[in-house]
Parts: sequence; C-alpha cells; structure tokens
Amino acid sequence: MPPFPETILFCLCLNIVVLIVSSLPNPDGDEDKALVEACVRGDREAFSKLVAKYQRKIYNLAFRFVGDNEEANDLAQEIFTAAYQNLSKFRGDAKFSTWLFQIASNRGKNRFKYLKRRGYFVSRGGTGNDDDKDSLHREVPDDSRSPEELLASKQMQRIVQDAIDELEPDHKEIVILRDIEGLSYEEIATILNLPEGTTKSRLHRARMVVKEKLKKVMQ
Amino acid sequence: MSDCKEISELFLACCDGEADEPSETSLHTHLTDCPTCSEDFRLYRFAVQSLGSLEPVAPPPDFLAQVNARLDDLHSPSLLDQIKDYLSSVPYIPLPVGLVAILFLAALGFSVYKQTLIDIVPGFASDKPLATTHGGGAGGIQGSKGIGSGAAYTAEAVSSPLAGPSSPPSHVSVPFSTNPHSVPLEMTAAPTIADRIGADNLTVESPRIDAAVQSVKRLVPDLNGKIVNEDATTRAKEKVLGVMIPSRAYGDLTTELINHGAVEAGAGTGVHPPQKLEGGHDSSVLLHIRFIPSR
Repeated sequence: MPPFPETILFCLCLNIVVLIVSSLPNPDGDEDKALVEACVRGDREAFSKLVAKYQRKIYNLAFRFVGDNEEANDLAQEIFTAAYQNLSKFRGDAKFSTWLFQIASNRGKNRFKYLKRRGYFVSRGGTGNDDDKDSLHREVPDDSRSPEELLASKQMQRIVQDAIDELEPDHKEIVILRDIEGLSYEEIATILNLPEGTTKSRLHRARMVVKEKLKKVMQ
Repeated sequence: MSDCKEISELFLACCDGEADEPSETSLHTHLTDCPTCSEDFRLYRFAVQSLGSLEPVAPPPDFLAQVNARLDDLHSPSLLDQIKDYLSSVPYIPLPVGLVAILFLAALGFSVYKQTLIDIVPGFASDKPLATTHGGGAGGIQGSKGIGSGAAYTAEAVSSPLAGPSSPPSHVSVPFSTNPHSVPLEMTAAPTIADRIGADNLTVESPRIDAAVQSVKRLVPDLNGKIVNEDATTRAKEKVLGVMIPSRAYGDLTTELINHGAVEAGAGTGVHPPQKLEGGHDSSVLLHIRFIPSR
C-alpha cells in the first residue's frame, strides 16, 4: 500500500486534533472576560474577584518597582484603581492579565521615576545614586553555602533587589516582567508595544547589567 | 561563530532554553576554549536565577478591603459629577426638540413670573380694566380730586412704583396710533400708567375743569413750554388745551398731572395726536390735554 493515503489520514487526524484543542475554552481568559463584562455593568463584586485573583502578582510587581512595602501597597492600589476606571476601554484584544500588566508596568515605571527624582531611594538608604553603589559591596554573601541556600538567603534577596533598583527604568521593567513575573516574550512585547526581537535584546542588556552588578558583589 | 561578543548574544536564548542545537553547540564549544566567556555565562545564568529566585512579596491581608475603600472614595461623586451623570444619563435629544423645549420652558417661566407679579403688586392687576375702558373720555381713574384742588391724588395706580416719573420721554417719538379698544386684553394688562399716557394725548378728569385748565396753564411755562391753543370740544363741559413742551419735559408734565389729578391716556373725539417737532438740540412735543368732568 502506498504511503499517500496514510499521510492524508494523518493530516486529517492532526487537523481534527488542532481544531478540538483550539476550540477548547480557555477557562482563565473566559472567566476574566466574564468578570470584566460584569464590572463594566457596575458589578463591584466581580472586580473584587479580579483583584483577589491578581493581587499577589501585581503587588509583587509593585514591590519590585519601588522596593518598599508601603510604597508598593499604594502603587498596587493605584494600579487596580486605574484598571477599574479604564475597564470600559478594555477591548478584549489581549488577555485581561496582559492589559492589567500593561497598566501596572506603566504605573510602576512612572512611580519609580518619580521616587528616584525625589531622592527616595537615597533617603531610604538604598540605591539609585552613584555614591551609594558601595551598598552592594557591604553585603557580600557567604560563599560557604550551597547555591540554593545562597539564592534563598535574605541577604541575597536584598542584594538582587538593590541591583534591580539601580537599573534604568526600561531595563527594570523588562527584568521584572520576564525574570520575576515570568511572562512570555509575546506578552511582554504586547505590554511594552515592542517587537519581540527588540524585547529580547533589551532583556539581554538588562540582564548583563544585573550580571555586572552581581559580579561586583561576588568578587 | 567564535567572537566573544557574538557568543554573548546567545546567553539569553541558552538560558531560556530557546537556542537551537547549532547555537548551543557553538556556545559550549566556545565556552570550553574561552574562560572569560565561560565565567560571564556562569554569572549571567546566576543573575537570571537570582532574579527568578526572588521570593514573591505578598500583599497585606486587607489589601482587597483597601482597594475597595479607595474605589468607594472614587465613587462618592461631587455635585458637578452628579449633574454630569444626570445629564449624560438622559437619552439623546435632537437639537430642534431641545430648543423647542427650552423656549417652552422660558415662556412658561415668564408667564408664571408675570402672574406672580400681578399677585404681588396690586396696582399691576388694577391697571387692566382702566386701560381697556379708557379713551374717548369713557374711562378714567376714579376718586380724583382735580388738578386745581390741590388735594393729594389717591388712586392706587399712581402710587405704584411702576408709574414713577422715571418713564422716559422717548414715548413721545412713537407714532400716534393707539386705539385702546383695538388692543388685545392680554396686551393692555401689563403697561404702566406712564406707558398708557405715553404716545397718546392726555385726558384729565376733574370736578372743576376751569380750575384744572388754569393749573395746567400755570405749570407749562415752568416746563419751558407754551400754550398753543385752547378749544372747547363737541362734548359739553369738555376742554382741550394744546401745549408745546420740550420732549424732555414730557415726563415731568405727566408726572405733575398724575400727582395732581386723574390722568388717562387716549385720544378722544376731536383731539389731535401729539406731534414731535424737531428743532435745535432738543425736540418739542405738541400735546393736547383733554379735560373732562369727573363722574
């Protein structure tokens, strides 16, 4: 028997599988969409559900932008408030989470710039100022621990956060979205309105900066 | 691909597990031979792992409540916002319909205002019958004492502020055309005494016509005017006095007449209309005052 009919049959089966998979509902997306629609109709309870669902991610993102709980709390609230006020503008082209992260990223970057201009990170004893770069060197991690222990230590966490705080806003934003929040390149490209290639090259540069900062500490 | 710079470009793809096989082989081959790149790659991977190992920071337990409180603050709208909301909640109204509605409301408001004025100001309402019955000596303000009597005039209409001497003499320049009987009732209800006197000649009711005529004759020179003629009318006991006065003195004359006797506007039979005579900087008015006996 020639292989031709088998190939056709295989292709047909593959098509059917693809169709079935693509027609499967996306529970997350559909649920968000329904909640957003309810919110637009004035259902505050629906918005509470969205907040409850995304508060950990958004709060974490806010914290990574400003490096302080009090500021992060205010920023996260501001993000959700802005989202609520602009829900009617959400067209559903992208996922709700992507749209929310877009707001969060913009607000976070703006807040970071604002705080940096006002010398917030300097007065906090953190970074953000060239004179304060030695702060990383004061916290040299203990090399006697395993890499896992080292990475998990509070000391290391502080060092990495300080390294993030020293990044330029654009680098900080992309590092947070990719390496901390774990978004895909596609989502990040949508959020930042950049081509995927540009997104990757920017992330690479940002990581190189972090690497250099950590290298100084490790040495 | 052996250049260190080009190799470093592969760090991202290799760390993310997105590098294809040739790129990965190329990288590892290079790293074996280049300790600097090897160290860089190790640190690069460490940086990525460090970033990924940051413990998520949890929001405070009452975070949701705080967000809701903030939204509540957002939802307590100002008065302006409430008005905006109210207006924006009204369905779209086409412009012509809106304009008609506004005009209707304006007319309604004006009629209510006018009605209220009639209720509040007694004289405003009491003028109506006078205005409709005057003219040709048929009407008149009752209770007058006559010009020459020197008694105070008691008619309510005259004491009304609407009949004050501030009425502009510009009425004189209005063409003589008033026939009170041809004016609709709605139109004659509103005008003040001064208006009614305005464009027409004047009618004075007095129990003693001769005395009233003499009184006016004494008054006119004081107003820089003069007596032009004096006639008896076709009706018994009536007299018409023609006076020429400066138009600016018209208000003063009518005020004096109001203050000293019953005054009513309107042209009676055989009475001439006022004439405006231009001359110099001021214009003069030829006015005929008709004296009729009180009833």
